[in-house]
Amino acid sequence: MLRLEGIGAFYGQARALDGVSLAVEAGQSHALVGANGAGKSTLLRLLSGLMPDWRGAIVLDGRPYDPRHAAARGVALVPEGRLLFDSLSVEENILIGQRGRPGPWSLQALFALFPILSEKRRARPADLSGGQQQMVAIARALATNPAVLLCDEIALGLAPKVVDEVYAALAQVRAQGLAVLLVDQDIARACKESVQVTCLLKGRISHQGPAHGVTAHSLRAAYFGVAA
Amino acid sequence: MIDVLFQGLTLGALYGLIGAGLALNFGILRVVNLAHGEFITLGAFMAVGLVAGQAALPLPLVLAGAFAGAALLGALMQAAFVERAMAFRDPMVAMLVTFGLAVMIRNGLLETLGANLRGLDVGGLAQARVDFGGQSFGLLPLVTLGIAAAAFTLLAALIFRTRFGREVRAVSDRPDIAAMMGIRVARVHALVAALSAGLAALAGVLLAMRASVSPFSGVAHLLIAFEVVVLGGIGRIRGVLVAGLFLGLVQVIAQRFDANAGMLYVHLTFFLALVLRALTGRLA
Repeated sequence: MLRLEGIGAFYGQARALDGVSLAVEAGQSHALVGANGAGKSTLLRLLSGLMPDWRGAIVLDGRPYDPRHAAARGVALVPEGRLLFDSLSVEENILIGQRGRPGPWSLQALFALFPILSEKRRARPADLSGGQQQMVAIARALATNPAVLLCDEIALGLAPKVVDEVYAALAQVRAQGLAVLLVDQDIARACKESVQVTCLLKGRISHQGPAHGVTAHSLRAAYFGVAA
Repeated sequence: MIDVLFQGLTLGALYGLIGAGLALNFGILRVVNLAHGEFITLGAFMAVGLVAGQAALPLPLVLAGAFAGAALLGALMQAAFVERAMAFRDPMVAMLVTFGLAVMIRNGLLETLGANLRGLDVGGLAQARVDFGGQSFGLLPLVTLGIAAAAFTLLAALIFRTRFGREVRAVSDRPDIAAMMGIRVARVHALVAALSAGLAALAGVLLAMRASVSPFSGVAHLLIAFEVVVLGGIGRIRGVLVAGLFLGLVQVIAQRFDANAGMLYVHLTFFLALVLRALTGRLA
């Protein structure tokens, strides 16, 4: 579904990504792990059109993909820190994503996925718990009816029970045929949810392969760049 | 007493309208638009030109014409100059660009129309009165109040009840995320600039029906607009209306006691409000 070939990205003169290639298939998750500064969020920002300076080739559904048209092509980001629209209500935050791309994620479908948001539909993001804010961020991204969902640290700062709820919702999303590129500091959790895993180290791929059975310990060398 | 209240509310509604466009600039575009006063003057002169033309137009068309003309110019200025200046991190760049545009508009008006004071001839409307509840009210102030109230109601509905308003607020909150969601941010900016310029022009027409204007009137209007916006809360439409009404009432009441110094008391009230905020730690 989404294929990246030899991706490089730059912050001014500094190279943030170098030769990154990976693929994400429909209905599957691909875990993207690595230490802070490895380039995970940069890759998601690039795919969302938030990184103007990049190299390489991206193909989505067999056609070249230009990240500047992410929403129209069906690529949606759940950004780290949620970055909700503070002056919009929960319902308005979700509706802002509905821009004509057809798909199953109507307001009613999203309220069915996260029933608590239906009760809080008139509330502002500042009046919600961290978990509820994360649900709004996911619902806002899904409202664009994407083919690919990019999730950046969606479990960060949440209670374990809420993390389970969020990942349960993500499993329902995958069941609808969405491809998910998943960044999470919790390597074991990210790999448990995914089919493939890619570990980045200083902007380059240090490990890539099946996610089944991968643990933080088994990925230690690739993660920190030291001998196992 | 009712007469003073009525006059104060009418003037205040006008002040609110003057501030509303600037509040959009501050609150949504995050630009200190120093050309806002010039759009007020421009609106007044466009109305004078439309009324004085061979085929004198009725007031609603004059208002619509001035609004549309200023809105078009505002959108073009945003797209051609201000949007590019906004790309710089330093907000001074956009502010200086609007300062330059203000100088150009002011001198353009001066070159083409001269420095003479001009007023908008509204015919019998200026003297017409309406009796209500044993009180006599001027029809012109009533019309002014009605237009200002309608403009505020429509503006609030547009920003808080429509899809466009939702996009405007989203762009104001997080332009990068809004762009990622597929919103064309530069287009929203241009439309907001058009709305701001149109509202300024509307205020200009209403002002020209009350008093004469010259190409140099923009600076004084800009000062009032700043006071209304700072007092009402940056980007807050309802706050701007309340602040405008308050300052209008202050001016009219002060004129009862000191006929030539009403505006001085407006500025003093603004200053005192700032001092009060500073003392209560709410200046930021």
